[in-house]
Amino acid sequence: MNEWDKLTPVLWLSFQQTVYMVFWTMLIAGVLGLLLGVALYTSRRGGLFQNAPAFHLLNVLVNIVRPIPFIIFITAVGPLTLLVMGTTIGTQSVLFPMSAMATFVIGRIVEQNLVSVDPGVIEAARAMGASRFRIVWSVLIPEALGPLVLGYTFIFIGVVDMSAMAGYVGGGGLGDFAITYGYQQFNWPVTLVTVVIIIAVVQVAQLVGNWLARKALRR
Amino acid sequence: MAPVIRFSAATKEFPASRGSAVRAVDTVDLDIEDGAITGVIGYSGAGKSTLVRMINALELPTSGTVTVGDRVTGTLGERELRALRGEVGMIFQQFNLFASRTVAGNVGYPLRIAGWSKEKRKQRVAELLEFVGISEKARQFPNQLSGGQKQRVGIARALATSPRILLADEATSALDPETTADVLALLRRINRELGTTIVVITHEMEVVSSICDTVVVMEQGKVIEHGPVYDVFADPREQATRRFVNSVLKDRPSAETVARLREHFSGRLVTVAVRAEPGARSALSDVLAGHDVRSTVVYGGIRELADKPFGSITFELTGSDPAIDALIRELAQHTDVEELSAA
Repeated sequence: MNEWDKLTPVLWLSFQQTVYMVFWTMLIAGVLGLLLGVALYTSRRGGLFQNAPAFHLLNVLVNIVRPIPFIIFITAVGPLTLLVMGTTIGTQSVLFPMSAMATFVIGRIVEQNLVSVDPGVIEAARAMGASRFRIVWSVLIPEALGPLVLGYTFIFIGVVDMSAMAGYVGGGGLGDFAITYGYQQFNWPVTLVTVVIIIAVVQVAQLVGNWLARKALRR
Repeated sequence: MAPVIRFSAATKEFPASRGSAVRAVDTVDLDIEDGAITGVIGYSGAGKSTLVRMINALELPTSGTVTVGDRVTGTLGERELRALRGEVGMIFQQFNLFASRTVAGNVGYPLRIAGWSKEKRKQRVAELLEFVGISEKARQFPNQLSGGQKQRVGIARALATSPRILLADEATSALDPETTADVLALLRRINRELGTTIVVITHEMEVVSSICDTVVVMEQGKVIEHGPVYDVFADPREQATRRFVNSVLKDRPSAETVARLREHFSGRLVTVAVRAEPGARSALSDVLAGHDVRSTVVYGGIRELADKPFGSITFELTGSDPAIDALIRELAQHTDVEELSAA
């Protein structure tokens, strides 16, 4: 049991790093992804800000970025990361590739959830004289809130997954911990404990997400 | 009365994905009177919705103009457009309520847009809910309401900014007959008490006969007939109007029905219109009794339209041909008579 005396502080630090990466990514990509999703939805044909060139540009961009495996994406955007964050190593620098990738994924999910909003409701708001921006924030997003919360919950789990790969560039976190102290040292219990912690985090997130969505849907 | 809405050669074309553009509304000239309830009828695809959506500038004419009050819809800036839409309320077949807002939140939304203070909003919302009779539902969400209650919320919301004009797009088509009657009575009351000009799109005879003063008949983007409900229905000038009137009234036998009637009735078949002219109906009885002709009622229907009788009855007449000819001639002096041609 002596090894856990040494490992526990490291595990706690890794946990904090994971929370740090996931929190900031969700915050940054959450906002940017929402904007991207709204831009995708409203620029499409028949949308509030119908604009075919803008829609096609955004659509192609999302389609190019999204299929890239994240571990490859991290290295591929290395030069950009260096430019933006000043370094490519460490927990903070990995926020750049994580937020970038998550923005594209969230953008697509937001777009798909907005499609579920009844166009009749948007027409009603237009008929009342609401401006287009006002319709976006006071009708479109509130009407899609339930599905949006579930979408963000889904993404949260994807971001936890991403954070595990961030260990590759010295990002630290629980994934890095499991590889370094578990896999590479043939220490199966360490891997198991890490996995259990990640499962617990994800479960809590899913429960909170479901609860919020239910509140938003008022059922 | 002065027109509050004027269409001048108004045309709306939608670009088609291939081939030529679709003309939803085709060079329409139309005045809609202030304070009246006007029904827009026609088959689906006739352009009714597009025409009505041009009134609150949800659709702008591709050529021609639409004038509402003293505003020309195609020329308005953002601020003017908002002012126009504050003066034109709209209700919908599927209600289109905000599911994420309470009943009070829905009704208060147009007031937020108009920049009302919270205090004034609260007061106005209470007043509106009282008016449409759903005060006790203020804190509920739309999905907790019945269809009729939802439409009442829709109406309260449309009336929030005291519009001069109310547009109703098939507003009762999703409701059962009893609820339809309640909602129509409410629309009638809005028209009488608030003086609101109402334009209703409908395919239901019930709506036209119970609340409309004036009717506009559309076909293929054109307004083919326009006038007081009774005049247009009792004496349709256009074949399409006649077909429409008959399809909702079903008082005249169709070709198939005539063929079936002939299997049972060997005499001459004559359809006699029943109209509002005073004494016409008693004249009908007198004429039928005054000839040596036996008459049997084989088909027909009479209903009230604008508080006046309206419909037709089809008789089988048996007797000598000269006697029948004389009877038909005499009937024709009082009303429209149509002999159904022999099979």
